[in-house]
Amino acid sequence: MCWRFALPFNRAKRRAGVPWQLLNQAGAFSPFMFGLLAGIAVFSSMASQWAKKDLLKMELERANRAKYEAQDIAKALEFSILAETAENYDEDLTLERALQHTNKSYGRTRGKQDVLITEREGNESFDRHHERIAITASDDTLLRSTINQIGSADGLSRLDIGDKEAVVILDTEVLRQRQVDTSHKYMEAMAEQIYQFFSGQLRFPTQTEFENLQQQLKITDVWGQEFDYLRKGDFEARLEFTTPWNYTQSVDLNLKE
Amino acid sequence: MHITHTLSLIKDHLTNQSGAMFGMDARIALIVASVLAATGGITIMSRLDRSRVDAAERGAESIREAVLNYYRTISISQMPYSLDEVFEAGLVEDVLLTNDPWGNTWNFAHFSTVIELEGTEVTVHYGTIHSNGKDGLNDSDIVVSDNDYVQWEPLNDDVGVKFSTRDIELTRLEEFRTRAQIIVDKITAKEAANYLEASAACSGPNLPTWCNNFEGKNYTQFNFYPQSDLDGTDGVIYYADATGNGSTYSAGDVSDMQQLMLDIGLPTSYAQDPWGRILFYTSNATERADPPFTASICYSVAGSCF
Repeated sequence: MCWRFALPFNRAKRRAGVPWQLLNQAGAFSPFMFGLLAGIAVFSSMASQWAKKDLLKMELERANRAKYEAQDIAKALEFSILAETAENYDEDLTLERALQHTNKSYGRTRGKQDVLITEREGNESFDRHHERIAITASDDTLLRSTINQIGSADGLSRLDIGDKEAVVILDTEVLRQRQVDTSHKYMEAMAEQIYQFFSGQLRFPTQTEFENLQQQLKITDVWGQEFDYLRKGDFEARLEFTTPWNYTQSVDLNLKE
Repeated sequence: MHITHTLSLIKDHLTNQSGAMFGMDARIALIVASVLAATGGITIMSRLDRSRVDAAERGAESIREAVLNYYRTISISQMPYSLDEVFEAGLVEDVLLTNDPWGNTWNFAHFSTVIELEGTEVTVHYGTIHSNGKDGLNDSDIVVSDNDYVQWEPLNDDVGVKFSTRDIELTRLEEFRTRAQIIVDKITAKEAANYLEASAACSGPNLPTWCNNFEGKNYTQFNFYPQSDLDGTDGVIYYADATGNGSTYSAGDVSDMQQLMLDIGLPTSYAQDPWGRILFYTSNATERADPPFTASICYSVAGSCF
């Protein structure tokens, strides 16, 4: 069933300047067609809203996942440094090394790219240049390219990436400092034992006596190495440890005064 | 003939029909609506599949948290033998997670490696939890070594996660050091307290006999640490021996080490380290017969000590 209608001609006549063909239109009004158009309009509007919400949610999830994965890789690298011994010490901080201890990451981003690990030479201490590492699991090409183009450790620190982006900065200086400090603490405990020996014998231990002491007390540096002992006399000696990258820290034992 | 006539009647009847659904616009509307419905249906089915994959990912992550929680709080030093232990312990809130979204059981594999974490021997556990996916077939490898773990990822339609006890071990290492330092401080304080007690007893008018001569030694030559059975040094005299008060603690024996902890004012839980290893307390680590004496604590016979 159809309804026909047209604007009355006298009303059209009153609208000056409007072509009469437009004002005199006549045709079928289809409830199906109008219903369909209205339905499609409502449906597409709703679908568009859903899609926007979905997209936003997905972007947020992806960003969070990327951030989590970058943090996970950073923790894995940190763990691999702390698990170093004199035998397995390694200067290189690579993705392969991190993957040995990751919880979640497959080492690739959602877009099937490798997680980006960018290493730049950082501060110098303990006779070595430390590394500042930027880790990102983001697929953002611009971000990855920006990180790659940064030539210095300071540049990495200044990188303004916003909260949403997935870049984590790891500074090996902090970890090396921790290793040296802990080893130094253990060395002081060993030195205390040497002083204990002195208080009983009124002299510092000989090399053999020191080795016995080491075996009895089982105190080593964090890399599992025994401390080096240099006896300079009954009242003077030196205790030291050498890191796997050949930095030596020592404590002088002197009871001459 | 009769059939031809009937068909002709039907054709005429259809051709001459009139009504709401037989206008051209209505037909177009019907077709468009059908296409939209079909597209919607396919989208919904695809979303259903995707939601199952998402559910499997979330499920694997929840189970991973539960497995780590089980290790942290229940099994302490070893991984559960199967996921059933974790489900039975009530650590997975969603009971439907005993199976994956396709109704199959989860795959669970793990191995462990002993490492030196800042000089402390630690066993780290690594593993994977994965669902066979929509096809119900296990396409992914089983991890049994470090190399497998590095390479592992769920293959084809499998969905899963890797896990390691890395973070738990790091936290435990901190706790281990703190706990060991507290024990060392308490034992040192106990030694100092014993010495002060002996000094006070030996400075009054009625001196106990052990003050000046106990097996040829005066009290200043005693070892004032609580005595451990690991000390077999000849000639060493313990304060507890001289006064007859006190006992010998058996190193590595959980009840003796718990008693030692109580005697120095610490909770009995300190008799074990965060990995469940029992304390080895030595009251004369340098095996001396005369002062100064050195006590030490370790959490394994071969491990590094404090």
